[in-house]
Amino acid sequence: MKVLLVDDEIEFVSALAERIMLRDIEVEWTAKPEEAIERTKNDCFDIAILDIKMPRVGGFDLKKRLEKQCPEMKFIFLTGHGSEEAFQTGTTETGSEFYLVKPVRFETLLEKIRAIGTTCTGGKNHG
Amino acid sequence: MDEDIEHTGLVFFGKVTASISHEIKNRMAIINEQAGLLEDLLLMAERGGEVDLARLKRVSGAVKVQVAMGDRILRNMNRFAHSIDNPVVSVDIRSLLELTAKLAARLASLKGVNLEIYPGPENVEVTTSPFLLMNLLWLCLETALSVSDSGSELVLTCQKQEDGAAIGIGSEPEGKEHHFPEASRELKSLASALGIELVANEQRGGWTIRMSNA
Repeated sequence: MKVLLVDDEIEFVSALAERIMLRDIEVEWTAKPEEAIERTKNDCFDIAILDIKMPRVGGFDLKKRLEKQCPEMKFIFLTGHGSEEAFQTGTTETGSEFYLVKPVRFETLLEKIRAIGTTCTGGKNHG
Repeated sequence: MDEDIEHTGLVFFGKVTASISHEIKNRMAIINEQAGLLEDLLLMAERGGEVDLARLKRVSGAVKVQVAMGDRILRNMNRFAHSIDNPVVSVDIRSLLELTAKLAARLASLKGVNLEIYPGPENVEVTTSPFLLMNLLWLCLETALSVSDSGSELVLTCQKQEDGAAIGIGSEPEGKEHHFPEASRELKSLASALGIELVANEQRGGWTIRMSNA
């Protein structure tokens, strides 16, 4: 299983990636949404964990662009926004099950990753 | 106070508070992950793994950095909250401009716009309402950001005038064609309530805000 983590907060995304890697899950991370698009041009991931609010390209827009390249990719969204409106938009986009509010409970995120992992195709889902 | 201005002020207060709470949440999220990583590393050590002291030092150092950043955010929030204490007071314009820019930094960052401040060499004090002036500057920035491209730069300047101050808000580079929309009704109302002259800046797009102690 291959996971792509995208969040503009480098300290957050690098620490989270390190923790996931310690659980023997293959992870790549970037703080730049544009770089995520580049990386998935040649190599798909099973799961993309995306921050919703990022400069230039937000998480929902990024999802649409990654989906074009990797139609089988699954998504988990992370957000610092706790507003009702943001929650509604987020859950409509991805389902409340895969919409997590920061600070994230790591065990919950891990459960989601593993749950998706049981259904994934091993990162070979290029569209 | 005029009801419209009161409402504009509440909207402003809400937006700034929401932005700051998001910033604080981000700091907490980072600290949460760093603390979790420390736990993971300690657990590995308990199970007989090698303790990487440099790694532990790096993570604990990163926590300290986040705490310092959180402290700066909260100090700005505190200054902002207290700006409403005195309706009219002698205001250090350069300091107020810097504070407003810091409060709007996240908004600019999300648009990919760089905010650059040139506060000028001279201390500039004007007797005015600090909260309403910040509200006016915020609205100017919001409008400017709404039409700014990612990767562009907004420049904030402050100059001492004979009887007051002139604040400039515009795009870089000067002279390039910039299409700033006309000042909104809220912006005009605030300028009028503060006795401020809001002049469109053709060179930079944006505005020059002229205020006086008179």
